[in-house]
Amino acid sequence: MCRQLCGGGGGRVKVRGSERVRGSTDTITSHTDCRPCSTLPVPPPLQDPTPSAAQGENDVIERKRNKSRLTPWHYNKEHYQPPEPLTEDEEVMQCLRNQRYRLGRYGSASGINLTKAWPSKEELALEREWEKVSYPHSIHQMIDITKKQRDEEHKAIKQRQEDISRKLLHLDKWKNDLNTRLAKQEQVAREAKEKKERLIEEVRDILGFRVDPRDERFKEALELKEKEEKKRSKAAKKLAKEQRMLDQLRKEVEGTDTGKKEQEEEEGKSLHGTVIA
Amino acid sequence: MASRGTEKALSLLRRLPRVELHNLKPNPGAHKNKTRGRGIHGGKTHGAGSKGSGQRQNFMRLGYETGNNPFYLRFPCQNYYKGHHLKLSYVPLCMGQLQKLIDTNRLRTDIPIDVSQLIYTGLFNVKPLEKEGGFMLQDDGMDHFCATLNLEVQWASESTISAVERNGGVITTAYYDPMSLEAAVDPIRFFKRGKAIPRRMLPPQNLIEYYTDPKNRGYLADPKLVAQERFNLAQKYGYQLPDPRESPHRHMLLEKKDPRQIFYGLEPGWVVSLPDSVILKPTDPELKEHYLS
Repeated sequence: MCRQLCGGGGGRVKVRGSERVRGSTDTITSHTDCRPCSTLPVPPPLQDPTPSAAQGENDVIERKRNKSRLTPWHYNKEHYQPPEPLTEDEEVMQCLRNQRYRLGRYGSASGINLTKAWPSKEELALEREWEKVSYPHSIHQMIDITKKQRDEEHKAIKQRQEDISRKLLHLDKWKNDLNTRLAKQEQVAREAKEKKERLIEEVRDILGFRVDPRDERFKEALELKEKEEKKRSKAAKKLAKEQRMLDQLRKEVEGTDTGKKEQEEEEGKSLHGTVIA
Repeated sequence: MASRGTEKALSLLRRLPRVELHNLKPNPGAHKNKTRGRGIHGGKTHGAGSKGSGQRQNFMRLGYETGNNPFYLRFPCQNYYKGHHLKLSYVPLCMGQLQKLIDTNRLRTDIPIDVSQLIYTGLFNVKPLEKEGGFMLQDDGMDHFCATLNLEVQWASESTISAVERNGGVITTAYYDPMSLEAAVDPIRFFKRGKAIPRRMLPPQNLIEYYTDPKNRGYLADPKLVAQERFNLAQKYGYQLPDPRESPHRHMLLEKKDPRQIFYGLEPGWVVSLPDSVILKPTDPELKEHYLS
């Protein structure tokens, strides 16, 4: 019903509880005089638009029945009717995807050539190229690649295990070597430290008080000590040499005669003028 | 005798659908949209605070923490998520759930069950665009699973395979590439696109090992090796292996899809026209060759 002005086009106008029909007594009144109604587009009929008298009458009836005020496009969409078939220009301009959507939704009633559902020669070539790039290997090739990968992994693991077992044989020896080396280093360090301590003590003995090793007095004292040590060592060496000579002579004497040995002994005694008590 | 108000409320409760979050609404006037301040007490700063980027309508970027090192920049590398965009995830399907569906007649066992059938129950949602590969069968509830069916999923563990085969069923693991999965998940939406059914693609390199392994009942594995593994599994789990060839539903149980097939009964290259209820097949030799490869 036209709510805007004329109240015509079917139905009645309710005015505060009472029913009053505007215009004529007929329920169906023509409302083409009404401006809003006349500007509305006429929706297409549901049947095939072939001209015939009965058809024409039906058209009129259908048009009057349609109170939805929808545009033809919206009306068709609501009633799942196929849209108008595409013109030649529209067929060229509308993309293939949209044409296929029409095909899928409305089937042959869409008016689109059914062959468009399948890929064209160019599309097929593109599809083949895409597949070639995305899936370059066949199943067997892929299986081989995977197998190779797995084999390489296992090989690497095996290699590493062999390496480890080979090295384990030498492990004890390496441990011992390391320990001895460390012990030696420690010992050297310890000895140096002890020596240093000893020197400080000796210098303290000499000077009577504790001196810092970096002090000059320490160095002087050390020098003195070294000199004394040298003297002592020289004397010790001389003594040792004399002893060795004595031993040698003794041996010679023992080798030839026993009597001579005593003489040599006495000689040895009186040689240096020392008295061996 | 209850009051009229109570009676009215009870009658409403009886005829209206269950109260859920999506059919609740606050009382009219309860929710006020925040409006821009316009004068007197909405005036002065007009709801924009004082100074700063907010008032000057030069808002700070998302995640900015007014100068200190923001949370989204603190951590240089999250190895937990490394390569997550390259991996597929699967929708879990427990054996217990499957049994329930069959018992409540929500899933038919007289036809082969694949992705499409499981989605058609309406209880699962597989999103191929979010890197979901399909269904993964889990062994939760496998002890009381007692249905004989021809099942096709995308991932299955050894125990689930044993549960299905113990009851005389057949299980296959098959790969669906994202485009094929989209078609399988919503076939009607796919047919409305007006395209020919595509060929299902092969699995990628990282998944080929799974789908060629007879232990996983992969669809690309050698059937003889699969039979051998069926026997081994029966020995391992200690059950008598029933032969599906001797069952009365042998035709249904032994039905398998071609590696290039997406739907049962439909081949790649066919066009399904739903409005006309017609299947169209290609006649061009080049097209035929392409769809058979």
